[in-house]
Amino acid sequence: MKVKNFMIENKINGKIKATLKSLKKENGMLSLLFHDMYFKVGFIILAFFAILALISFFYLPYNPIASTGPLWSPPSLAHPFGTSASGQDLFSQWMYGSQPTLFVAFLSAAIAALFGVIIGLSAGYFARADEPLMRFADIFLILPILPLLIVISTFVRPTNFTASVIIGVLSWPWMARTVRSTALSIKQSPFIEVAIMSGTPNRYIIKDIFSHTLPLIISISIFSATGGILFLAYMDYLGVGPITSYAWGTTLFYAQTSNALYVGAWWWIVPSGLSIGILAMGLSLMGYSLENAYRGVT
Amino acid sequence: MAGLKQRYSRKYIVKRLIGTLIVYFSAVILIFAIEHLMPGNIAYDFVSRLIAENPHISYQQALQEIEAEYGLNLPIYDQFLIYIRNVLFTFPPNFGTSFEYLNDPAINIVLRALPFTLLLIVISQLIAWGVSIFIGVELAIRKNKKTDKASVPLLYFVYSIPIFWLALIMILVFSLYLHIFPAIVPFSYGSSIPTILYGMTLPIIVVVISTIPNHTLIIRSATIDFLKSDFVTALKAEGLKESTFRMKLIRNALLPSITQFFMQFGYLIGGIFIIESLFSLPGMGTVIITAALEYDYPVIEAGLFVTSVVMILSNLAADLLYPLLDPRVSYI
Repeated sequence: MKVKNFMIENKINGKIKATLKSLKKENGMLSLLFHDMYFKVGFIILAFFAILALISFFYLPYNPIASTGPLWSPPSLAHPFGTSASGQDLFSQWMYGSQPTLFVAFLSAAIAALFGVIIGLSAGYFARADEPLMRFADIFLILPILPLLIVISTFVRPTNFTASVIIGVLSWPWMARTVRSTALSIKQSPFIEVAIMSGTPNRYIIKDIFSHTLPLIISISIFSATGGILFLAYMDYLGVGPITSYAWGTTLFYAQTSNALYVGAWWWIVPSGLSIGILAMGLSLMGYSLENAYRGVT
Repeated sequence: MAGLKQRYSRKYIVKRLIGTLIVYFSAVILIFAIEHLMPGNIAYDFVSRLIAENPHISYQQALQEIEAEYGLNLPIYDQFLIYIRNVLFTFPPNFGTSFEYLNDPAINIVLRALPFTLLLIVISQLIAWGVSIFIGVELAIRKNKKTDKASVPLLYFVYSIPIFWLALIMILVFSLYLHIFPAIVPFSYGSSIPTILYGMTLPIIVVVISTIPNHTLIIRSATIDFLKSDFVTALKAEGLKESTFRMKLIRNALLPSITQFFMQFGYLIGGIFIIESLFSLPGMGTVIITAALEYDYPVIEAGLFVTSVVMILSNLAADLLYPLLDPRVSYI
């Protein structure tokens, strides 16, 4: 009797353990990530700015472009971030600036990911395409991105959309390289070899390789979103970006052209630049912990 | 030179050089495409500027003469062939004369600015590298301790702030509040060396601060990988002195950071260009950015060309230097 009980108990225990194990397997990555301090911090930062952008669609304290207060006013209760040389409320500008920044960051990263994944996967999987595709990527890798960006955008006054397209098209080679090398190593793993030998059609194998590289792809995309934020800020700061969209870089451009620095108007310069840094840091931390989790899992 | 033969095979060198040439040709073609496939006629802007300065010129005549001078009235493929001849088969490459500084060949303007950019890059990167090797190795040894856990977000933060914003803050602090450095020291091609170095101090500090995180993070992760390997355990078991052990770590961590450095040269050079333009240093960045804002096409072409050549050469150097620095790597 005792023995039987023990056996049943053991069985139940084993079942619980198995279900726990399968649960863990299912959300292995996510639970791992949300236990990671860095990922949490990054996620909170991203969520903060995303919510800020959402709110700014419906509510802004003032019209960000109109003159609504005294000129050169330091931060006060009415204007938490002060006002610009022409009396624009900088807090509203800061809120509004989160929209184009996030838009360009994610669209440019998505475009870079699209090109990078297609080219990287084909180079990694089809041995014949490897050499020409990687040489093609080398050409893009060696181009000075920022000078090119500046030159192109002086000719084509970019909108947010075209700016993201240009940034994405110039920054895919990183993705392609990493995806290719990972695809090469996955291709040599036994389960893919078995699949190849048993005559599985290419598209299933490629799909498999893709889903095994996905976490890495997401993590690199996050890093290229950071790059997108910085490139947009550089373009805006030089006055060649989508100037009508009032991203944070544009605020800094107007601060610079009105000599805010020499008047000592630190409130015009500090919040926008700091937000760029904090948002990009949050994204980088998420990418970093995702990459670590991926390398730890595989 | 006997050592060299063991490091690379002739086949590898030939293959690498051909690859470099292909990239070079593609860069040259791409620069032409960017300039000539963009909307707008190059000549119109130039002519209207000339007329603003000398109202007595007739518009039609000036337009015709300028189009003839720069070959803009020819069909695009003729222009392309002439461009190829001027850039690939003449030395120094001829991009025509600048629109802004009349009668000055564009390539000369850019080449005059090149030393300042190189000076800024070399000094700042030597300092940044030296500092980050020590920080990176120390952080890797203290992995998962408090210092390391706090440093990684900080490094990412400094890495992600736009370099021009850092420069603005530095000017605010050092020039306006503390009065240590003037924001802009006027100097140019003929200035004395102390003036140039004085004027470059603040830009160099800014570039050093903003590039330290990148080097540090790479060196840190490389060192963490090394600390896991068997030979480190063996070294520890041998009972090496702490300082000797660290020297070995540093030597190992140096190698991956060199390749990474050359691979990210494109990002670095972009930031440096912005810094130059912000501090009005007479470097390539200022030249290219002013040219782009003024639609000075020959100078833009020459600037992009020289930047690409610098990047191609640095990439080649990285590949060829690697086996010399790391005895385990050889291209045979």
